[in-house]
Amino acid sequence: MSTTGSPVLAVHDVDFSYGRLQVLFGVSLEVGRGEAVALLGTNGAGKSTLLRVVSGLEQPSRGSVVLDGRDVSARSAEDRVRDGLVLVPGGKAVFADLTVAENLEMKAFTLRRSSRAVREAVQRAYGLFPRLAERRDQRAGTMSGGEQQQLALAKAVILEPKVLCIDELSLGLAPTVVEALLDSVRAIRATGVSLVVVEQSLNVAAAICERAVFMEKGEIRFEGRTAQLLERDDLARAVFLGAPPAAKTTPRPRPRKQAAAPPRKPPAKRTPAKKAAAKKTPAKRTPAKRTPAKTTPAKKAAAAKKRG
Amino acid sequence: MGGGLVLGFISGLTYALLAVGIVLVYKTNRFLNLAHAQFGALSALLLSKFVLDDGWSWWVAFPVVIAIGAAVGMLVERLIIRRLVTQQRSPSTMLLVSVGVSELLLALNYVPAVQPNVTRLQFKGYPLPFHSSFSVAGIVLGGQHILILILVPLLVIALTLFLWRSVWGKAIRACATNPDSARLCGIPLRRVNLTAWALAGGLSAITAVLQAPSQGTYNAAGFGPDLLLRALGAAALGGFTSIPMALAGGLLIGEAEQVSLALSNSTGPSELVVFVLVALIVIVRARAIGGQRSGELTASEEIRPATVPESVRNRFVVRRQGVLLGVLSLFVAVVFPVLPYFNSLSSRFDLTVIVIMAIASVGLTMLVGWSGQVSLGHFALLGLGAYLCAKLGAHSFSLPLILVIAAAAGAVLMTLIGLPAVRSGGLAVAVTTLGLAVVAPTWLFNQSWLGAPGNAAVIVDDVGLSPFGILHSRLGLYYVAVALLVISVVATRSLRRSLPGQLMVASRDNPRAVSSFGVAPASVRLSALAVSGAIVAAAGALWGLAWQSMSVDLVPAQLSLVLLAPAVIGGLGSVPGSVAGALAIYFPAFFISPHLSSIFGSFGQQIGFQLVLGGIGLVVIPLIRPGGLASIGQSWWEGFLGSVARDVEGRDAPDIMRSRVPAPREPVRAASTPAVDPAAPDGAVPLRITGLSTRIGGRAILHDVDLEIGPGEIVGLIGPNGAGKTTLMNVVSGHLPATGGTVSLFGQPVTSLAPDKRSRLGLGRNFQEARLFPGLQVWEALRVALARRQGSGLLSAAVSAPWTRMTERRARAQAEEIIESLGLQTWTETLTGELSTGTRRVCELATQLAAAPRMLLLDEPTAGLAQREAEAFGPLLKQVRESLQCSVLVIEHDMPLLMSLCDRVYAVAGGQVIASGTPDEVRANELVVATYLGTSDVAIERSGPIVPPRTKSRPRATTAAR
Repeated sequence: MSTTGSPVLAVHDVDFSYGRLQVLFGVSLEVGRGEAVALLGTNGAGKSTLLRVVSGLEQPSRGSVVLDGRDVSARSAEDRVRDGLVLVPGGKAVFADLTVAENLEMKAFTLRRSSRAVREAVQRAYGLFPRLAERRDQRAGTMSGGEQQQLALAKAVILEPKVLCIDELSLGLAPTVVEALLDSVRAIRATGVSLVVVEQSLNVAAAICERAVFMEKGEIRFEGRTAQLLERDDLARAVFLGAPPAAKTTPRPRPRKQAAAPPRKPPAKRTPAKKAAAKKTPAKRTPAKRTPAKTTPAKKAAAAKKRG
Repeated sequence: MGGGLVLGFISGLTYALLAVGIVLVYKTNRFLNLAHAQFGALSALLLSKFVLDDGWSWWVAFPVVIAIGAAVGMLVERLIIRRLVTQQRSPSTMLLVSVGVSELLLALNYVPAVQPNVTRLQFKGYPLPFHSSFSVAGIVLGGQHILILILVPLLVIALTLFLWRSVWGKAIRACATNPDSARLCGIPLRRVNLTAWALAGGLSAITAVLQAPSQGTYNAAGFGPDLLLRALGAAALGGFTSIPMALAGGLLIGEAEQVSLALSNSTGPSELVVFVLVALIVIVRARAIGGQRSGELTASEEIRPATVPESVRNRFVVRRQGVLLGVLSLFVAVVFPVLPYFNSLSSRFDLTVIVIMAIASVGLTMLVGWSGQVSLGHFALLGLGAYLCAKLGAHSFSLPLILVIAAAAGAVLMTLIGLPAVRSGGLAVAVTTLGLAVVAPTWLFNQSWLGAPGNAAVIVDDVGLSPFGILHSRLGLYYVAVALLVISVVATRSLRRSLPGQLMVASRDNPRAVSSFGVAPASVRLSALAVSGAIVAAAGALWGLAWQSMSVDLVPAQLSLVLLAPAVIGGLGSVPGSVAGALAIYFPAFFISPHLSSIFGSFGQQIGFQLVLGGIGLVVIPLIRPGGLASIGQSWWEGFLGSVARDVEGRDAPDIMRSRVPAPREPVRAASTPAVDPAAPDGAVPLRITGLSTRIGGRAILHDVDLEIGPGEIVGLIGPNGAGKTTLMNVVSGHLPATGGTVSLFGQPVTSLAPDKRSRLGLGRNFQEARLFPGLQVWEALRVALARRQGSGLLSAAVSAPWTRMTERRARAQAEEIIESLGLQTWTETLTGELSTGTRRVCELATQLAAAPRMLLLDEPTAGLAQREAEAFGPLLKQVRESLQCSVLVIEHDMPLLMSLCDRVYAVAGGQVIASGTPDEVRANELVVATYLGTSDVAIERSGPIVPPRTKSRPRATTAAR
């Protein structure tokens, strides 16, 4: 699939901080109509945070989010769902205390004015995931991880968004389950929705996305086609598995020549911004304070556990 | 009797209605709203004013005041609760804030503008819609009773239907379970929460209006702790989440109360019956309440250790900062009562009481701050000390002996109160201690063996203080109080610096991990309650001496709630902070409020002033500065030291960049003491599981599992999600009960042993989420892990005995040795909650090195790590195993890592072992391939080398470990 016309989702120069700790540094990203983009990177690189900013759960300190030509930066997360921007959060995305049917009804909350629309949407979900129909009266929290992820993905067919963001598709799931989910994601993709998928595994990402964006320490370091990454063993290894110690000082691979990749600013331009930000509060930035960004997924999981 | 039943049913309905409101808020925001009853108090007051003074019809006034109640609920949500929820505060913090809200709402009732004409109210009685009455079983039921009988069941039914049938009701429940997810479904979270709070406020208003006529003249304080205890008890029956069960609980408590009242004809025993019933509910429903996971403070609320610039670290003022601060404060405390204005008899009394309150808040801050248990009954402990002092003083006991006996009694009483609640943690303790606050003045202090029957006052005679003769002087008593304050500050500080105090924080943050290190969290919780009770009861003895006579009017349950304010204002968990907090509240209350009473009327009086001041403190401090006075002081100190350091260095202190994943130094070393328990027979099979089955909530998770691990073996456990791998580990470690089969460790059957007992046999484990102890520094976490081998007693730690100090020094040295060998030195004094996932995983491995188990269970040690970090983890795991010489059972999704690590592998699916053998055998097993590995290369190679699509078929496992 190629990117035609204006991008359906554009993120411009986003800065974001948790308290005093800056997590995103001038991140820009464009997603074409019908395109599937994988966000890759190590823990704490800022992938999930970027999705939280895009979906409106977090407010960036700088930059904007443009959906289908319209700036949605000021709109709340709830409103962005109506605008056609949907995020499937990582980890426990379902309402554990509610039954499967109630979960689906909640996912169709924005359609509630028309009971027929809700019914049809729920039927679409059952169509894609027959398993959910079998378990419609079971409490979602008692289902297996894979089934819960199916329930979470059902949002895509219920709301039929323009852009679907999926956070940590394969987290903690056994390979067979992931494989089945990948089929579902491909089916969802076939409806023409644009995808942004956060993944820790390149292989899973490559199975559904044609373009990959690699993030490190809150910046985009590399963009390229996933097929290319898979072919170039050395490149992928250097980027994803860490270069051997001797090679660490060599510049990072930045294949800018690819035609498919949309134009982007060279990373060099952002580094000063990061340094400036780091200088703002030199005395107060203790080493301990540097790390919370990376603890957030764990905190989130803990919070989810508490709620669940 | 029959009449009692009828009255019990009616009052039970009102308790139930209150309980339903508490459940509603609990479902929405996951905390106990102790202010719930107060939401409606204003409405009840206004209804009487509208009807009696302004001549409104009851039917017009009723909906208006319900709307006002709803508005109060919405305002509280909008102004206070929403902000705290956004900041993700812990349930105990929210509970404390709600105490503050209830104090402020109570204070609101004293505003003259909302009060009805008192004589008219007394003459006409509280307004009712109709005055018909009929009699049942010898009891005349008036209009208010009929109203309750009709309205309450209707309301409960309507609410239940709303929550389970309507879209908005479901949205409330959805937002309650998963707020972020709800927003991502387009559910307007704020509107939903606002709706829930409006409902709760409205419900509270209706309850207050229904309840008010039974009280004769209306009294806002009547909606105080005793009513709250009944409502909380009712809500507890439903685990704070079930509305039908809350209804049943309300009826149960109402019946018990009224029937016992009818039988005994006095309130004391009926209060005791209610208390015992509530305690029973808490015991019976322990699992439902405990399942709600409460009482955890998040790391952000922990005051992190001060950062001191390197260049000034060795200065005398910095090294001895604590001692210097103490000496300075002591000097001020000694000089104060001889200063002009403060040297009068009444001022010295006030000063003595302030110091006693400071001692009490030291006792509270360690309980609430360290162990995360909120006590709502500490004022009763002050009373206990005072009454004991009166009794013992009459038998001419000397003061030191009285203090010791009072402390012991306080410890015993708190332990007794804690026992029913200790299994389920924070929330339940709040309920039973509230019971103590209620039952102490109504029953305990009326017993002739402790106090005086019939609320009579008891004289507290001056007592002897050995070398000084009888302690007559007020100044002498003040200095004794200061001495006790010094003792309690020093004792609590040394507790916190040694194992017992660290265990309290650890059991608050992660009780399961504590039990896996061989310590029972319940006993740690009890120890915190006991220490806290001892301190406060000892202070109570002095309190009695200061007052010179004691009566139950001096220990109303309401004051127990006010007592929480200093601990919160000072910064929870900070001992010096709590002293400062007590000064900040009581000093103005005693020395400033008398000058203001002419301006504010009843507001300016001591109690009112305390209420307003405490209320504001409880609400505002968590909102703007969770660390309270302690963190304000600390950041001021840090700023000062920073500027000194800049002067010294002439430039900014370097901002040191740290590497993200610690680099282990080889070889990794375990704690230096021998890991092998000499008592264990050699050669016994480390772990043997036979025919193990487990059910959770009727679902069979494991059936008939057999598994065996030989000495020194590394065994992998693989299987699809939901196969029961983690459950198996939980059953082995004792965190889940087995329903059939046996588990034996080193030849000993352990199937029915508690987790901490199993740990003592040499079993160690990690947890998938790797939370560790967010409120503890890295070395402290290791100290906790060393608990089993380097124990320190509670008492000897409190008095900082020489042998304890030696043990602590040795343990710290061992901890640092391990920290260094894993390359974690940089983080030695970092809170584990602030570590990155990768570093925390390494830190968790370090705790295993400290605990030195002989059988180690590892549940997904690399979960949440990126590929690069996960790869580095494999060799590290191997090193740890080498140095511990232990057997390992490991669950991993990362196949290449697992296959390179393990001697043997068990594959489970659907709760059964489907294959076992060498990694290659299991890999080749067709059943395993079908159920687990699947046939897709994409899925298997999660962390393997990137294989170009053309060469997919080449062998994978062998190339995995780099």
